Amino acid sequence: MRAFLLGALTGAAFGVVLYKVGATRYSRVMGMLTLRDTKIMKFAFTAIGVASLLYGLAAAAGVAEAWGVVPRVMPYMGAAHLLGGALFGIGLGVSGLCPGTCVAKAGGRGGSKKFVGTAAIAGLLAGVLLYGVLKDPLLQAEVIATNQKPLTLHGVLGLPYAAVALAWGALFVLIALAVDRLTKEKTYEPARPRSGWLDVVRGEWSWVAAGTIAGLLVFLASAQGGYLGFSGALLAVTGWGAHLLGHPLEIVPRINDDIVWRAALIIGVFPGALLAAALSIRSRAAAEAPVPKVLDGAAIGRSFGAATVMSLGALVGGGCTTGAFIAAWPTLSLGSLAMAGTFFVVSMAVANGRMLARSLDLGAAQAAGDHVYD
Amino acid sequence: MKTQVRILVLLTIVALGAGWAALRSGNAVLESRLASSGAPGPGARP
Repeated sequence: MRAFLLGALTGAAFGVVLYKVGATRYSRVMGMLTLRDTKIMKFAFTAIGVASLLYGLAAAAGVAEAWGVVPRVMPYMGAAHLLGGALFGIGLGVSGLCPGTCVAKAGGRGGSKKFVGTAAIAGLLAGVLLYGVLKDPLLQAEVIATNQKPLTLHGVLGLPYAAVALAWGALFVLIALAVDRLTKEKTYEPARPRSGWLDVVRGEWSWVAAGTIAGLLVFLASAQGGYLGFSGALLAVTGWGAHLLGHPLEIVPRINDDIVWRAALIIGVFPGALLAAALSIRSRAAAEAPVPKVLDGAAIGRSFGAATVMSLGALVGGGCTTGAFIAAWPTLSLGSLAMAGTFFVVSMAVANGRMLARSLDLGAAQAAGDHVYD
Repeated sequence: MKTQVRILVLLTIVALGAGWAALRSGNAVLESRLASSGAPGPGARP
C-alpha cells in the first residue's frame, strides 16, 4: 500500500508538471522538434541539470548511499537502442506524444478530437503485449544484447561520478539558458491577466519552474527506491493488471513493491493532469471562442498506431523521453545517451519531413491548440 | 521569469561550490550502480 501511494503521488506530481508546462501539447512538442518553439526543450534540459546537480551533490557529500540516491544506470544494450530509438522516434514525430504525456493528455482532456488520449493509452498497452511476443526473438537475434553492461560516461572518462555529474548538471543549465537566448518560445495569452501567486500557479508554468520541479521529482523518486520512467511503468501496470486477472505475463513474472510503485507512477499521472487542468486558467482564445471536440476516426487510429510503435520502441530500446532522457541522462548512462540521441534525431527528421511534405502546419496547429489547450 | 532564471543560476553556482568543497574533503562516492531488483525485462528500465 505504501509503495502504491508513494508511486501514485510521485506520478501525480509529475503529471501536474507535464500538463502545466505544456509538454502534453501537440503544438509545443512539434515546435520543439522543428526548433520553432523550444519551451519543452528548455524544460527538459533544466530538469536534467537540476537532477544531475542533486545527484552530484549527494555523491560528493558522501550521503548518496545512506539516502538511497545512488542513480540507477540503464545498461548499454547495443543495436536495441538504434531499433528501439527509431521506433520511438517515429511515434513521437507523428503524434507529438510520449508514454507519460499520453496519460497526462488523457487526464487533462487535451486536444480537439474525442477519445484520442484513450486510444493512445490503449496503444501503449498494445505495444507492451507486442513486446512480450517479440522479446525472445530479438534476444535470439542479438538485437537486444544478452551481455548488458552498465557503461557510463564517468566510467569511460575514469573520473568520480560526483565531479562529472556536477559539471554535467551545470552544462545543461547553461545550454537551457543559451537556447532561451537564441531561439523562440511561443506564448499563449491567458484569458485574464495573472495577478498574485495563485494566478501564477494556475497559469501555464515557465520552463525554469517546471524543469526545476521535474528535476527534484527525479531525485525524490530515487530516494523512494523507484525510478521516474514510464516504459518500465507501462510494463509494470500491464503485468500487474494481467496478474490480477489471473493471467500473469512471462515478461512480468512476479509482483513486488517495485512493480507496484512503477505501476502506481503511471496511474498517478492521470489524476495529476486532471487536477491541473481543472484548476488552470484557460487561454483567451479558449475562453472567447471555445471549440467543441469532434469524433475523428483517422485521428483515433493514428494515435493508437503511434502509441503502439512508441511503446514497443521504448521497451526494446530501454526507455522513453522521461526514462531514457530526463531521468536517465543525470545517471550518465551511455545506453540512455544512445537511446535518447537516436529517438530525438529520428523524431526531428520525421517532424521536419512532415513539415516539408505539408502534412504538418505548425502555425495552424498552434492556432487550433490555443482554442482547446491541445 | 527573469527572477526565476536568476534563482536557477544562483542555485547552480551554489551547488557547484558546495560540490567542489565536498569533493575536496574526499567524501565522494565514486561509482553509480546497476540496480538489479525487480527489473521486468532487458528492454525495460532497471
